[in-house]
Formats: sequence, C-alpha cells, structure tokens
Amino acid sequence: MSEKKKLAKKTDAAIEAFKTERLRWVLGIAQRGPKVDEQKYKTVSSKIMRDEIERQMIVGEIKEKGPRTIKELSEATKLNSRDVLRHIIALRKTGVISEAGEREGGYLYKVASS
Amino acid sequence: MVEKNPSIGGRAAQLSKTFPDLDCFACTLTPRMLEVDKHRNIRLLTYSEVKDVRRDGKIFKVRVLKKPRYVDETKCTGCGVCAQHCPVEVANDFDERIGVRNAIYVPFPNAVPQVYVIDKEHCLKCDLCQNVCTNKAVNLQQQPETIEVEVGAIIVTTGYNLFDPRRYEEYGFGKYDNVITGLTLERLLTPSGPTGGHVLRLSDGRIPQKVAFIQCVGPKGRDSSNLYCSKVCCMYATKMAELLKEQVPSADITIYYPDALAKGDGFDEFYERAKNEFGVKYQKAQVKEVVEKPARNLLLHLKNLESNKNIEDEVDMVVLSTGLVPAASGDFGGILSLKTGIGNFLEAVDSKKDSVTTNVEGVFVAGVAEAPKDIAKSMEQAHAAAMKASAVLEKLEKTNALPVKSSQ
Repeated sequence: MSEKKKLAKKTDAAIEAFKTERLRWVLGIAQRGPKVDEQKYKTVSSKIMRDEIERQMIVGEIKEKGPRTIKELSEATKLNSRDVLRHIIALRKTGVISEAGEREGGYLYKVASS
Repeated sequence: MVEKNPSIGGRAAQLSKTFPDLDCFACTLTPRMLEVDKHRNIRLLTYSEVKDVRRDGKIFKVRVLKKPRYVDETKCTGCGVCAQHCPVEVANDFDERIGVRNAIYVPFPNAVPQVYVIDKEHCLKCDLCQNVCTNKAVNLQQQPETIEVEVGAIIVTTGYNLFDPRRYEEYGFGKYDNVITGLTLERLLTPSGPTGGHVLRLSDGRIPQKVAFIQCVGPKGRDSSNLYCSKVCCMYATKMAELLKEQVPSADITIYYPDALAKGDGFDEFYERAKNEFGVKYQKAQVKEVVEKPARNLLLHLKNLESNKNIEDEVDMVVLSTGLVPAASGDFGGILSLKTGIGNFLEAVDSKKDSVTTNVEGVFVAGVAEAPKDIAKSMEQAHAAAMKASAVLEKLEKTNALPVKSSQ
C-alpha cells in the first residue's frame, strides 16, 4: 500500500473518531473548563483520542475487507497486536464487532451489524 | 451482610464452571445472590467495610464505613445508560484486567445489587452520566457514611486473594504476556467474559495450541514458614484443561506438578477423565525457569522428577496455578481478637470436629478465611456457621438482648 493511501486511511479513521459522541464530549470538556486536575484531563483525553482513532482504523479495515483476525488487523494497521486485542475486547463489549469463526489459528471479527 | 466490593458474589462469581461436575456456577450463585438482596431479614451493606467491633455485654457493636458510590441506591434502577455514555475506560479487575469497564460501572452484568458505582479515581467529572440519568441518581457530592449495627453473632467470610505470582520471578509473570494466572484463564473461558469465552494469547490473539500449567505457584513452594497446600489448584487446573480441550480439541496440554495431587470426592474420576478422555498430560516435574522466545512462545526449563533428568518444553501459553492467601483474615483477627494459624488463616477451635467456632464467643468463621477449600466445602461450612450463629441468636432473643441478626 502506498504511503499516500495509508495516510488517507488514517485521516478517514480520525474523521470518524471525531464524529463519535465519546471523543466530542471529552474534547468539549476543555472548552467548558475541566473540573479535574489539568494533567489528569490531558492524559485521559489524549488516551481516549488515540484509542478512538485506532478503533476506527480497525473498524474501517474490517468494513473494507470483511472479517479479520487480530494478526491481520495488526499487520494492516501497524498497531501492536496487544493493543489490537485490547480494542477488540472494548469494541466487542460495546457491540460494535462480534466473532465470526476462525482462520489460521486466530478468531475472526466482523462488524456486528453487517 | 457487609461486603467490601460493589457487588456480592465474591471470587465464586468470577468462575465459569465448578469441578468435578462442570456445573455452570452462575446458575447456582445468581439466584442465591438475589435471594440475599430481597430477604426481609437480611440488611445488605455493599461497598462497605467493617472498621471496628466492640463487645457490649452479650452483643457486638459493629462500626461499618459505607463508601460513597456517588450513585443514589434508592434511585438507581441499574439500567446502565450511564455506562453506555461514560467516555472513560478502565481495566476491569473483575476480568483480571483483560476486560474493560467505564468509570461508572457495575463489576459484572449480574451484579447484586444492580446499582452503579463511580470510580472517582478515574472519573473525569464530565457530568455526562448526570445528564443522561433520567432518575437523577448520580450524586458526586455523596460522602462516606459510618453506620453502627448491633448484632448478636458474627460470621467472618473474608475469603482469599491469589498468591502474587511475581514472587516466582523465574516464571516471568508480569514480564511475558503469555504467562497468565489460572484466574485469567478462567475469565477467558467464561462465556460472559471479555472474549466471549474464547481463549487466546494476550500477546497476539492467537489460539493457543500447546499449553503448560505450572502447579504449586503458592506460598508452599516459596515460603518455608507457610507450609500449606491451597487444595484447589490441582482440580481447577484439571477443570480448565478439560474446558480448553473442549474448545480447542487439537490443543496439547501438560500439567507440570511438583507434588502429589489433592484428593476429594469425585476428584479421582475427574482426573482420570481428563487424562484418558481428554488426553491431558500430567508430568511430575519442577519447572525451573520460563524464558520467552522471539515469536512470544515460552521455553520451559524443567526437571522431570521421575527420571531426574533436566528437560525443555516449548509452549504457546503458560498458566500458573497460583495458590490462595487469606484476603483479610489477618485484619479481622486483629479487630475481633481472633487466633490465626498457618498462613494467617483464622483458626477454628477444632479444625476436625468444629471448624466454624472461633476462640471468641459469638464469632464464627467459614470458607477460605478459615483454610483453603473448594466451593462445595465452603458452602457446607457456611451452612454450619449460620446454624451455630442462629443458635446464639435464639438464646439472645429469649433473654430479649437482641432483635436483629447480621453477619459479615
């Protein structure tokens, strides 16, 4: 995949991430003035931002190519497989993705509504 | 009933199936939890801790600290809308930190009571939960509350924690993702768990094909002054090996045990079934060291205790069968002046003839707080302790000393 295409994918994921209620609400706190320690707010909000973008990259990859394993998702997104697993667990909990059988020694995940 | 966690259920609520009959344990536990919550003679104080116990004549005055949930128990219906909106995500201790929860949460879906709690340490005070709660149950101003209860008898059932496997540095727990504890495997095997009951390697999500269980990862092998056997590890390893085999029939599973396997009712048959029907391998061996290989596989250096030869075994995943240590018996020993014995477990007056009566009149003990034991034996002991306590209460009632009952 060309560098340009990779960047476009990341940008798409970021756009999707910024559409989520979770990220918009958290970023909105900055404008309203956080009620917690500024450092804590910064640490938590940047983690949420990173997580949401990475999750959109994962969901985008599955939407584009169909059910994928953690190994495949990690290779395609260049995210560490431990982090992909963490995102899969969170996305599974919120019902965004679900299991879809196995392939080459790993479980496949699909977008739940598809 | 005083429970320090937001939900009752204890460790047993974390388990998928019980040995030796592989019963679904949630099916046994959940109705009992609900019964306790709805019982007219039981006052349930969750997210609360006993701070102090004073004897006053024939009765006890117990001071309980009720920690703030920041959610009004009388208003919360447990609908869960707040958690769906909460932007903060935290590793869930109930899932051995593999699963996630929000800053406003119930530890597990069938928690009792179904009342949410805010983890203030992680909460961003973003007010979203307050905005979405139609019952206005969120109250960030809630303060800790001290409650005094008068009781005629006390039953200590403070249970256990897992022995910290980091003390066996040579096994690499905490350093290698694919070295996990038995309780973590249990959460992976649980259908309502974080992976939907699918066992996978935490490093890369691969389905493990070769798994080694290392037994006796507990005080027994590490601490010469605490020579006790945790009693349940051999059987829980056997149970999980069977469940894993059901899920991944091609898996090659070996249980490395340095010492004799614990025995109990039906345990022999269970062990024979694992060996003969499921093809689980048992090897008497002492694992010396676990080393991670480049593909995140693990190389075990071990001594075969039958041939006395040093051997190696490369596996995908290592499960440490960690032993049990008392959770708070030591504290309760202090608060109630109870005697503690080997490993700091509470000592009953006679471990053979009466394992529930303690050295303090009116105080009884049950479950792992007294000594390591399985769920069935804990339940038997709890029934015995309840009977003993009710006999004390009956006597007090006859003398009009006390109209209410309580236990810990």
